[in-house]
Amino acid sequence: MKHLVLDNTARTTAGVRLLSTCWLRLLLTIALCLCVTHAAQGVLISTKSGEEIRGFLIRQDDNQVILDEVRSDGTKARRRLERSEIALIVVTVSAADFATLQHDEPASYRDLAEELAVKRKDPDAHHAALRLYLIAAFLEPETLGRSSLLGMVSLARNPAEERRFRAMLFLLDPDADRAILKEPDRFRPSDREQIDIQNRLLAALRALRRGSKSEALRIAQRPEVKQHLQRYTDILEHHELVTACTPGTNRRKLTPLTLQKVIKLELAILFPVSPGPATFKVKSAGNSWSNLFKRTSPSPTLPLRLESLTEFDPRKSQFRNGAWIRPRNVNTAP
Amino acid sequence: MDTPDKREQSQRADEHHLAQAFLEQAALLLAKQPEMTPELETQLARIAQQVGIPDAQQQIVVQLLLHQQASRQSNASPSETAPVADPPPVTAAQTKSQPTAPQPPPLPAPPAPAPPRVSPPAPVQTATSSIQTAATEPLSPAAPTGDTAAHIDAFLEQARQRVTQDAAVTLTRSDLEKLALETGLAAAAVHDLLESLTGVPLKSAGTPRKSAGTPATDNPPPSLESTPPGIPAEQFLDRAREFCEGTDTLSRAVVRKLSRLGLKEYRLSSVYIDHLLQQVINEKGLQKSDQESSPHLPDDPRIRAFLASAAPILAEYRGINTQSRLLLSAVANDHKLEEDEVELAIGHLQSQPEERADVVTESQMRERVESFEKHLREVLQQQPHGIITPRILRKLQDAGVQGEGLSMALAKKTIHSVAQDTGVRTITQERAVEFIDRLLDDLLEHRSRINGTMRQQLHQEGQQWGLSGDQINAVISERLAANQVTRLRSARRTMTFFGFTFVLLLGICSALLYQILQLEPRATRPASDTEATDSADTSEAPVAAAATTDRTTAGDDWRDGPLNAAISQARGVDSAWREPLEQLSAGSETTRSAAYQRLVSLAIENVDAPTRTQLLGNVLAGCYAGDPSDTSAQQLRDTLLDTILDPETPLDPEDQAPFDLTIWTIETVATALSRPSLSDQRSTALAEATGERIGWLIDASLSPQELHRQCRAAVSRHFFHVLTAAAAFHPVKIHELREYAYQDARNWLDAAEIDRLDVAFLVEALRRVGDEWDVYRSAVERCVRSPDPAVVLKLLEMYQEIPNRSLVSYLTDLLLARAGKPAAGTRLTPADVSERVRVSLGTDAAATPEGRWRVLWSAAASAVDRLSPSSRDADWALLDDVLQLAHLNTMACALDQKERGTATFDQLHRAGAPPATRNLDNPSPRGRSPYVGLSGTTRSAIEITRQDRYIARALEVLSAPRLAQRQSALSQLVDLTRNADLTGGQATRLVRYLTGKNKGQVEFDYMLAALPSFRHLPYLKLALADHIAAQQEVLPKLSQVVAKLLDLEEQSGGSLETWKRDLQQQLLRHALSGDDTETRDSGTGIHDSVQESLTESYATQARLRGLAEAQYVGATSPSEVLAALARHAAGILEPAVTGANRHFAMQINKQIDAAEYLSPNDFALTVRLQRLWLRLLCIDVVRRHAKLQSQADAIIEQLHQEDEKTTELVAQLRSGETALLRTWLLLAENTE
Repeated sequence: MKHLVLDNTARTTAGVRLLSTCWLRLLLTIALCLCVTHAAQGVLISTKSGEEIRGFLIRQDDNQVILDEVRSDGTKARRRLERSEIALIVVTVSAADFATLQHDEPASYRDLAEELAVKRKDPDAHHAALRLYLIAAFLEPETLGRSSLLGMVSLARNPAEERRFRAMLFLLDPDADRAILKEPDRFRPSDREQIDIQNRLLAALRALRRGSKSEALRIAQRPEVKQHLQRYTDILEHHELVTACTPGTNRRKLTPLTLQKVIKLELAILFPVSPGPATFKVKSAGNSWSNLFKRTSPSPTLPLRLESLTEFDPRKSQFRNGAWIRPRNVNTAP
Repeated sequence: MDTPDKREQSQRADEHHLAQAFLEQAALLLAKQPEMTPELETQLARIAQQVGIPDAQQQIVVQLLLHQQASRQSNASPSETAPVADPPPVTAAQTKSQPTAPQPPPLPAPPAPAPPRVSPPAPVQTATSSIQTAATEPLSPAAPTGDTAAHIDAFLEQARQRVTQDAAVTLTRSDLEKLALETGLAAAAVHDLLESLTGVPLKSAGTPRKSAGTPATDNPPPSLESTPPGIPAEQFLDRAREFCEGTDTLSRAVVRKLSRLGLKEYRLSSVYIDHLLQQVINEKGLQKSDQESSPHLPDDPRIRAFLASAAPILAEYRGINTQSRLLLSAVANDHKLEEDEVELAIGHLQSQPEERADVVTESQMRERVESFEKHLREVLQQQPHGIITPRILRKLQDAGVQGEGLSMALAKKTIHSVAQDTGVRTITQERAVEFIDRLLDDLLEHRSRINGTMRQQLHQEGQQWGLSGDQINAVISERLAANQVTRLRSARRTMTFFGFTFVLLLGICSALLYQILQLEPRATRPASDTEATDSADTSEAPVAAAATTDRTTAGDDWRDGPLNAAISQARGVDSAWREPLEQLSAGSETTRSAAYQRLVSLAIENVDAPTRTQLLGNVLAGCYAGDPSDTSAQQLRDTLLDTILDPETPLDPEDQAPFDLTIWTIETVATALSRPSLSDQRSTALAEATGERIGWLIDASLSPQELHRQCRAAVSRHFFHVLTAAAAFHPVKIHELREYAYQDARNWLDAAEIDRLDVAFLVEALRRVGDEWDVYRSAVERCVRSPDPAVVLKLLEMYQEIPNRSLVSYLTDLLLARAGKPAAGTRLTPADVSERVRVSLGTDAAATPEGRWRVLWSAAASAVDRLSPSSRDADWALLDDVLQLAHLNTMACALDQKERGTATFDQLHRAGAPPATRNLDNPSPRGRSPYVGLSGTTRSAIEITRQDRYIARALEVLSAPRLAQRQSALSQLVDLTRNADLTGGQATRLVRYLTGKNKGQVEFDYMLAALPSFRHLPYLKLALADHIAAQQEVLPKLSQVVAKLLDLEEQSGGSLETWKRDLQQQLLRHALSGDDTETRDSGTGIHDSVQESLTESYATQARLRGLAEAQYVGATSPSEVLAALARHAAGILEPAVTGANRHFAMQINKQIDAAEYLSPNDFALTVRLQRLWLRLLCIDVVRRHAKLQSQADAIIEQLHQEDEKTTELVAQLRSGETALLRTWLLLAENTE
């Protein structure tokens, strides 16, 4: 539809040169706005050959679709697809929908977030849903906090994030009890292929422990293992694993920190189900700080508040010109 | 030809009618316009569309019409008409309408050769493309006229027959030339005609066969001439000829038999067999039995003309099909033939052999290529790896050449194209060898031996790539030999290098030795040199006289090695130094004293060049230690010490040289005092004399390093004394020298002492500096913030005396910043300020609450000011800050409790903050990390290697046959692993022993007893976990081993999976936590010290705030007390506050639960609870002073921002304490 408008606009501006400058400017402005809005559309395309392409729609017509494909490594590349190649095209994140959101209607953020949360397969939709839930919770914590945080818990990208979301939900929901503060379950593979990949990762970890670094490196560099390891980035990142596997570095044994991470990851893979919620009380029982610092290098804590719950700033609740900004003349701190 | 069914017939009839209709209309148009133009083309297309014939047919018909038209025109011009040898008779109508020999239409593909029975109208136009080309380019030197053309035709026909008949025999050019002469052709035309023949390589009579002309076509048909003798095709031909001897017909049975023979025995393709048989039939003039005799044709000139025209069409379209039939219909129409006559003629054409079998025509070649391609596709699809190895390629080429009768080039080309189509890669032998070589290179690296596995792997790979075993072995041998050579070369190079290095070092040593030996005599030549000096320079009379009077040298026995080396070095620096240096070896002490004076003078002159002066200093230090004359030594000492700055001597404020010279002197003194050869008497004398000069006692008994440090520190102090004395005369100009002295002093004195020295200087300078005090701004600020009260008190004295108002105002601000600002609007005199400062310093007792707040303010402001902005400081520095801040927070808390806290405040004020390192005086051996030795950083590599060797040996003995040996090895392992962990491999070997099934009860018990000693080895636990994962049954003994190792209760019962899962989990968790070691190590280290002190601080605050003792007494971590403090504070605040603050206070338990849930360890929990406590404190502050709301919020917000930026947990603890202190200071300011 927007294309038609664009095309018509273009034809009109090209054909009718006798119109006043004022009209021309107006038309150009409208066209520009549409272009800007249009450029931010996220799409998920399934081709007939079975390929799934994620990216941002640039333009489309009856014959072809042009998009900026977002590759798995985060880079973008312009791509042109014939309509005949496309089996399904789904617009996942629409900038126009964002632009309609108003901070005085916080529920609309939550509603749109719920729509987007369904499209979990698309990372853009996933991120957008998280952001919108967060904004909704920030704007109306009393009424929307619980539902938004519940939505966020289901969208958590890793167990550490899920913990933060659960803790915030526990604080925002007046009726919440400690049962919410359960340890997040780890990923548990369901199909044979995933189990195989997981076993490969496990084999890499064990080979690394045993000192067979080359073997560990060979397995760790396989793309499916790398992708699988993304589920455990809160424990061990792929580059850390590759560094530890690289022959020559720490030739004799693993560093204590790396060994600890490897064992943690092994435990997370082998025993994905968390222990009960009562266990976290143990750590307040005066553990020796020196032992803690000898064993590992504890990472800093993030304050538990909505502003720093994710990488998104919920104070920026208005979408204008392709970017989230703080609304003017509004006291954003509720 | 197949008999068409009715449907096809009716379809063909429709097409025929359509074509007729189109022909009629198109002929009219073309008659008007003989040349094809775009307009004409459009018109024709429109007609075709109206008539309904397809585009392809339309184009054919149009081409035909155009061709006929062209023929008519050429007939009309007699000069261009090429009369044929045997022109067929034509009808009257034909004579009118078309030429007697219609030319074939200019169709895109080259036409097939004309049927043999029909004499070709112009062979150059019909036979092959090359001939056609020759016809279209009438550039022959002998352009054929009518007779000539007839000769040409006759010649070509005969030549073709000769070529066909004598295919197996070499045909020379002379043969053909002879033939041309026989047929009456001019010799000049022979060459061009020979070129146009059908690609049979001709050989000149006098030229060897190799130089024969290249074939005319791109893919020339292979001549039998190129076929090697004895090839299957030839043998097959011989056999076939034998079969055909004495018969006129070739029966079907014979054909089948020959086909079978060709297929099985000679491995020829069926297509090739057909072609060969056809060749034999043609040779022998036989007839196949299955070939029906052609129907009798009436001797009608029209039919003959039709046949002549039809032949090229059939050849072009490869038989009868829709398109060719359309064209034939058109031609038949031209010849006015009836339909049955047409069918008869076409049938006749069909019954004719298509090609002359003795010549391999293109169509035959195409068939062979197609057959070969089919064969190739079948073969290539069966290739397992998608590659054609050299062996397969060879076989395929043979199949192409011998089985299909293709040329080698064509066979290769066909293989290549089919391989490309099917996506199969062709691997040449070179590439295969190269690959194997590279693989071998990877496997071998630089070794010159190969094991069986590698060899097997290489053979497997090589066979996949089509190499034979011998070839692979050859590659391996070659590579091994090359590696051997490389190794030998490398070894030779290394040897050469070491040899060369050794020789070089030897040479250098020799050269040095020679130089030293050479220098000695030069040093012992003073007499002549001195004489020369005497005669040359009479101005130095005393020295010269002394030298002359004392010609007997003192000898160099008093000069030790280092001194000689120093003299040698100094001698090479400057030629002017040679003379005094040489005089050092003079026997006269006077000469030597004079030389010392000269050398000191030279040092003064070169004071800007520290390297040069240092050389002189070394010489003088050595001389002082070794000079045989005490008098000379004394004179040297006096001369040297005279260069030290004297406080009573007027100082040039812009000259830095005296300072540098003093430093040189003191370093020379330190060097001299460090000389082992220096006598005690001289040492004491020098130390005392120097001490007197610089006003600091020099302890000559210290080690050289300490002595040097002591001397330099003393000089730094001396500088400040000198500067302080000079400040009275040059209060402003001297600031650069002060900066120089200050920077130098920072290397040798601690900050507090520098502050004390500096403040003395500042007091003198600032009293006289007037309005130009700004040059000392940074120095003053530093002194005001000095932790030493004496420094501040000294400044206070000066502050109360100075008249300069701007300076007073500046100092007032600084001092109040330290002591605590008064309430707004309060005016303070310098005396008031001094009093406040003195109170804050504790020099005046703070008797009032306000005074105590000021004391706190001062200390807190100073502490916050001195915090390093970086969060990346060392842990101990950050933790020291934490303790100091926590101490101040406790003091603030005490003050906040008013009278109840006064005593605690005073006590804390007197005690001061505990240092974080107080418990670290005796680092316990128990402070071993569970991972100690893992990274190898704590021990040297040699030690690790040695230990590894011992462990490996003990592990080997564990598999010894005798029990005693095994037990001994196990106990050795206990000892060896006491302070180290095993590697993964070692742990696996140990686990193999621990879980071995062949142990007797005695050995098992012995092993169980040893297991607790291995409890600290994480790799052992991990290896055991791996071992359990591989088990297929529940092993009770294994459970016992795990239970003993982890000090757990033995697990029993359950399924195999449950058993494995539980044991694995326990082992991994224990390997992760290292609980056992942790228990042993508790209470050690700086972090524990801080944990303890911080717990004490918070416990004091809890006591002050009235918490029940049970809530803080016995607490082992700050987190425990903080949680109690937070709950208590929230309980007090909840009824007193409203809104968000009340909500926060009400849900404090949830907040604490969330903090516990989110914190992975106690330190992180302390940090989180610290934030909760801060928030409650801020709420309390705002409750008491509502106006402080924004400031309290700012403190919290700033802390959040810092938390989001920081990367260190310890830094977060410090920033939390800082924020708490800032909050207390808000309270202090308002309380005051």
